[in-house]
Amino acid sequence: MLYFIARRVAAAGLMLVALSVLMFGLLRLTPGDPVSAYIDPAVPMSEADIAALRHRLGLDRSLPVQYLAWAEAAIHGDLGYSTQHERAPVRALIAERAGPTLLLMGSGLLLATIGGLLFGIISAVRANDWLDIILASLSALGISAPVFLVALIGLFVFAVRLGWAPAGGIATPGVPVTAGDVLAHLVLPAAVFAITQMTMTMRFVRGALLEALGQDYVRTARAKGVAELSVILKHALRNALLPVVTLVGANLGAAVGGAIFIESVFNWPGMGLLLVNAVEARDYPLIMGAALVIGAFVLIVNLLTDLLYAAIDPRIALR
Amino acid sequence: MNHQATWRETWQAHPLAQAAGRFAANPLAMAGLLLLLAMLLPVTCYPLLPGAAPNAIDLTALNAPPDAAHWLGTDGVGRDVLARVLQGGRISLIVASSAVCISMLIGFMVGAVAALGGSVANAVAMRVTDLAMTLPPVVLLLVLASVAGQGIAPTILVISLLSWPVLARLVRARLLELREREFVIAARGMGGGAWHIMLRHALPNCIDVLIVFATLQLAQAILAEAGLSFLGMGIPPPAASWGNMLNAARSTVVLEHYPWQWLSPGIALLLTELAINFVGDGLSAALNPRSELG
Amino acid sequence: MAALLDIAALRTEFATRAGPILPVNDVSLSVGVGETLALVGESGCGKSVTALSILRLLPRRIGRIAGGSIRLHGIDGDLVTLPEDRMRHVRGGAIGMIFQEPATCLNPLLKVGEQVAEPLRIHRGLSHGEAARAAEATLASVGLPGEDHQAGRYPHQLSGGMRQRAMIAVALACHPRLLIADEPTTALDVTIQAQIIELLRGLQHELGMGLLFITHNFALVADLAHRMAVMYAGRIVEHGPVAAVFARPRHPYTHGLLACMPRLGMAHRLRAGHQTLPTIAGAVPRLDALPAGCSFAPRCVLATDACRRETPALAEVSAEHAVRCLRWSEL
Repeated sequence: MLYFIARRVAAAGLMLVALSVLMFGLLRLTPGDPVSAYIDPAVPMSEADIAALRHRLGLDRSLPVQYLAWAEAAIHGDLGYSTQHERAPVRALIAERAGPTLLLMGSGLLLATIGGLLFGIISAVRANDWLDIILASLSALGISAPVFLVALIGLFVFAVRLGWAPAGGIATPGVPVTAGDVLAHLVLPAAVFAITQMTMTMRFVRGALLEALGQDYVRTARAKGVAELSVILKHALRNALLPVVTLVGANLGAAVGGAIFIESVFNWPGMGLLLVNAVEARDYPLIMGAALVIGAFVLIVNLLTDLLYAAIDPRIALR
Repeated sequence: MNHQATWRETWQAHPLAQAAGRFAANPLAMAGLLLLLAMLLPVTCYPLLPGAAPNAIDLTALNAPPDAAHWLGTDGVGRDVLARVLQGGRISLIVASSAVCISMLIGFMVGAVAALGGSVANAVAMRVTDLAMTLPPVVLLLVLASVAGQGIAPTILVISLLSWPVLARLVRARLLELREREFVIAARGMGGGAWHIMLRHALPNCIDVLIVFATLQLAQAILAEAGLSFLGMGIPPPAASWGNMLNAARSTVVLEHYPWQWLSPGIALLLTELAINFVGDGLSAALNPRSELG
Repeated sequence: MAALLDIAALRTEFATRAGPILPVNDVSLSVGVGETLALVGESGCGKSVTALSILRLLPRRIGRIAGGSIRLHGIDGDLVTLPEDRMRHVRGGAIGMIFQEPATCLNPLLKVGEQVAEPLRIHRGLSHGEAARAAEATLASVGLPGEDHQAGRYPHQLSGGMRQRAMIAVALACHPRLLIADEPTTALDVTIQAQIIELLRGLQHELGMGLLFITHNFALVADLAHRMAVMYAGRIVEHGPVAAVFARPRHPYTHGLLACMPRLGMAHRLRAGHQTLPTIAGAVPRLDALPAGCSFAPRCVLATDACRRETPALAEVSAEHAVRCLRWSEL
């Protein structure tokens, strides 16, 4: 078990390094003098200072040394300075925007998981029945509809036409921020986000539960006289849901993408919107810094879910 | 059993023909195919029609709602929305299909090298594939687009770099399976070299994987282009693309007051995606039948 | 001997692409109290479907009981038409069932003790603590003693033989009157097989149960069963006391199956001029393409035109021995 953990952590670490190499390489492909990204605008620098900075970043030496210098700076939190936002440090911008994104994704994924579980169970239990067909059609629609289209329609119907929710942003401007105000602004984007992510979970739960219900041990449970509800919930579902832990990790990539679109439609000030604006402005230090942080986040979450899965499956844990 | 099999019987026994039969018997798949043709025909034939001018400006009808002259209304500079939707469809399709072709090439090569090239090649290829799949797709698209720039060619390049890893894994899995089968060993015994094996033996046996991949990736690529254009990269105006037409809706004025301008490309996008997904699912089921009892 | 289980003219229908098929076609059999009935036949003849039909565990949308009746001593009413909630109490309560593959038939995520305790809580209304203790006792009686703490283990931690013992414990926890065993030893090593058979024999005596033992292994039939029934293509083709059937099988199919077993007296039969075939030519017919007349006719060396025209009815060889063959008297 310990060996398994060590192996997985090492693999994740390796991927993180590879990712950083990729980001560094892409960064070097962009136009502009690399040193300018690291010049703090608040501190006046002389020619000698700039030359020393160049040396520290390894810009006067080979590419691998440059990578190591860049990586060392990154580990210490120095990802350079943005070309916009009044040249604020990249680290500060990311830290400021991470919260709203986590709030949006967290609440959205929670709703999506609950909804996906509920509808997945219903459609598995009533497989090939009219209810299942309706749910399957809705999920086909859900998979085919682009996230930004659903978001636009949601914004149009609920905020603009019906006026049930504010039309974007995280808080009402000009008014002191309260938790209730933020919550009111969170409802619509989180709900839309949940709907777009629910489809995957629902399909997965349906498939996994149907497969579990076809297994021999379910037949044994029925042969023992166990009540149907108990068969579904206690015997089949427990086995079906074991992999759902890893589903969170596997779907995280798609979820991050969805969050980026939701943030841009609803003007939600998170990492996604930050990245989109940075790309439009070709703000390379910010683009690469944000991408690196997002990539690292996904890697770490995947690692944690893998370890969690190994911990709760008795077949792996007791080896 | 003395009669020579007729040409028709031989064809009907071919696995692809049997798969085609199963596809034709699948109502959802056929509906998707019909819908797809209904979308593709106007989109591809559009430039051949007289009077087709997606960039023509009609200053007398700015932001006009749908009417007899402009079936889907006009946009902020007086261009006919229907014309732009059709034109946008063409561009989206061209970009998406080119990207899929390129990614199929890359994916097949990487997968084949990994499966047939020995353990070092396999390890390297798989690590590269894993790395390409680490970043969330949208993030990768944005980062690559920021380096490559806007326009048709850069967008094709960026999207093709997104989808090849999935195919590489599928091809590798299929070829590993086949490597142990007799006909490959026989081909090598016959003295067939690596290229020969790849083209004459490996490729034909990956056709079903490639067909299903191509179809489903086409849907993904269309979405990717639309997403990129929606976020401001991808295909820049004045060229029409479904994504950059939806971009207009990021302005509250357009969103609220001129819904036909963004609902039209949105629904076109949705219908195309639905059609391709149905066809893709149908192909997948037709090529990999599972036996069922009733 | 009073009949514990009485199945009369049971017909079970499966819906397939090619139309409905009858894996169980006009099957009648009975098991007495304390008696073992062996149900034998090749794979696909309908033995397992018969067992599943008794407990109404057929696959939901595909299988259904199309006719006949099943009666269990002590249950008021026909099991075929019993309301579902009463049927649920029959399962695991009055009738227990064990299956072929213990590896897949036990829930991999629940401890063995919990799986044995579950029917005790459902059918006997015991509390968690009481059920756990009773489960330990049951596990001990099948050879998984409490000192080894098997109850706290997961199925994958047990060997094949131990898993099968655990499954037997699950089935017998509530002391059912009838035990259905569907090929319980097929997936086990020969040495373990013998242990399990001994265990079943012992438990049957101790609990006074009826045992419906499904197998394709005639050696086990000879060892364990009092009476036997042979199935082919969904029908019972011969049934009777084991000794009588083994001594002089009256159906060409039974004859052929027994001849496939190496045994004493084979030389005698060859010399006596009976056409004993070490194998039976041909294959079991598909249920959606059954031949007209006797289903075994295409493979039968004794088949005549009459056999190919009409499906024979069960004929009485003696009071307890019946056979479905037009030419049984000639064997």
